Amino acid sequence: MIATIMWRMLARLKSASFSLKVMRGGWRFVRLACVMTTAVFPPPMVAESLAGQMAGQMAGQMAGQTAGQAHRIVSLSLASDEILHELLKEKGELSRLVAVSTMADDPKYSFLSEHFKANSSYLPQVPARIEQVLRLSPDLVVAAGFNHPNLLFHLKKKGVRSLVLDSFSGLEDIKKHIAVLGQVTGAGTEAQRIIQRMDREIARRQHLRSRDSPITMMLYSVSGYYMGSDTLFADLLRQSGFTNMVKEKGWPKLSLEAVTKLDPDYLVASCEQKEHTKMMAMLRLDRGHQHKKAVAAGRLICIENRALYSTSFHVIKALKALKAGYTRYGDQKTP
Amino acid sequence: MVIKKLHDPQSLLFLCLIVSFYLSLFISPSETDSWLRFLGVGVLSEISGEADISRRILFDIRLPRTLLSALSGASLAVAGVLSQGIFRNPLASPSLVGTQSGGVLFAVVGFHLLAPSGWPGIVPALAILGCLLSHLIISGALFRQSRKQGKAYMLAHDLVMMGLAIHILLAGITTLILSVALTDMDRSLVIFRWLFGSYTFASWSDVALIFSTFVLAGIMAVPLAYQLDVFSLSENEAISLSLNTHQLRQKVLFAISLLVGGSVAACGGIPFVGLMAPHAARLMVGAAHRHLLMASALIGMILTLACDVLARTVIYPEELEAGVLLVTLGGLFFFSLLLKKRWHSDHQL
Repeated sequence: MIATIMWRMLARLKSASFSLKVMRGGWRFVRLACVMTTAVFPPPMVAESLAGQMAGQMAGQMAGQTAGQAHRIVSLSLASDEILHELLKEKGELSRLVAVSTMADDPKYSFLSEHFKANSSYLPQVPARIEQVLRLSPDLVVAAGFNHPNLLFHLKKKGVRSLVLDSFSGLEDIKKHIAVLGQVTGAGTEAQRIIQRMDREIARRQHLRSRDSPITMMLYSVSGYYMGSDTLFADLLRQSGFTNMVKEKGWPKLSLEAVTKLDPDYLVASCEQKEHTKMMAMLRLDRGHQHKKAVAAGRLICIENRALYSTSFHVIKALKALKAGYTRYGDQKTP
Repeated sequence: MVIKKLHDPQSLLFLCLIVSFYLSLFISPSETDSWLRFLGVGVLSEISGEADISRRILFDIRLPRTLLSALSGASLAVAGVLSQGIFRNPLASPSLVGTQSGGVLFAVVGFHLLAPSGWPGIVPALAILGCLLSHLIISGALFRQSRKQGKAYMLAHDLVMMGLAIHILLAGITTLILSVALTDMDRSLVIFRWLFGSYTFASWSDVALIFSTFVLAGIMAVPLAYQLDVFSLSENEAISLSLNTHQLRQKVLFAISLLVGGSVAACGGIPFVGLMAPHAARLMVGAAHRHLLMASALIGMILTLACDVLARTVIYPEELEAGVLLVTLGGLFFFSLLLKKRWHSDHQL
């Protein structure tokens, strides 16, 4: 049917004595129009950089705004889902959170999944797409650095305020995010309470820090990507008095040879405690890890996936699991 | 005498291969203090001593990795020669037959659905199955079409069209699965590393798999080389010389499927070797397929070994995927060919 319509249109164009020359001229005009349009409306790459700058500025500006202004808040990242949920629930104004991200109900990554398990429509979920977000008529959108910059650009164009949480390399970053979200939602007191709870938990583990020779640990990875020295995991280890064996920055993709040469006192893996035996069996088959003293002594600390990779206050659960794992095997460094 | 022998391209290639093997096995990227240690001098004494880690690295990691990269290079290069022979086109590559996409699709499905069940070897098995199934589809469709047209042989352009159609369709389905189903971060990273083409996770079972497919296909390919020389004249001339071109195409397609299947199953989508190695070999030994097969296999091995050595040394302790380097190298190779051609045409004028 489409082909028929196009054929008829072409026939009409022909009958209107559109010569080939005119068509070519028209094509050149279309190309010129495209170039002009691109110059006036920046393409995605330009928009990305603009949106990046804008988002950074807005994050700074919004932190100083008066409390309680946002009444319809949309969260597009897992960290903001969990933080906003906690803040607004403690304040008794959960209805202001009009939507959370699509990962919020995933039990592998989210601590909100229990609520969704009990009630599948606990909170509306929205994908990070401009149409769906605007349909909710939000007055504040909280996104993360990994959300597409064009989304923020379009939100700005539509006059919707946005806030970007974009650094997750330490516990201090998480505390900052909680404080900023507390300010913009008018839940500053609740935010301070959460931060104090985190500080108490961190302080409880500080006695582990004072030791002569460091206890070394590293995260077990199936994909070959490891958590480096400037990651949240490394900060968790630092706060607990341990040392991350992976010295490279970011998420280095270590070669199997390099992994083989690392020999930490403890291995940390993303798994449930009940999966310890299964995980150990896997490690004994892994050529990069099977010879390690930690594997020989069975010193594997299991941390629930959603706590290990959490970028909200729930990361404290990973800290607790580290301590629990360490005390389970005693203070012995060598098997 | 030795120098005279080295003028023979195949001897030169053998020498390069030995050097590549040595570097792949003994180069020590962690030893940056001395050049000698970096180039692996002293590794053997470490192994014979008490250094358990060095022995482990050499026998459990480097040796299977070296053998796998060499065998995958040889497999893809031989598949490239066969594809170019069957299409009578030096720009044809094994991916044009569509079998590689079949293997990749089945492997991606395996990664998603069956690999978490913990059965080792499921992904390689599915990759080979995918390659063979797409081969069966192409062969079946072409056989039907040639019968319908009342011809005793398949037309080359039918084969290209069918191969391309299958390749695009299966690649599209793979992309669809990847875009919809990638929610598990760890698994996604493993799949992407595999799709880029990597020797990182090379094991002895991968070596055994690719060795068996290479030997099987190699036994088939050697007699086919003579027939491809006749086939390269033209379809009619080949038929007049009593060559069964239909049967030849079926055999060549099956050999390509085996070679590509083995490589995809063991190390993922290694690109460009099937196109680059036969080209380079043709420049060195001419167009006769019996010479091309050996020279291409040697060049394929050298290429993959060299790229793998680079991939694991340039940013040590991190590493790149060999497939990524091969794509870059492939692009540069074709640029150099274009520039050479242009230079020649300028000088002729």
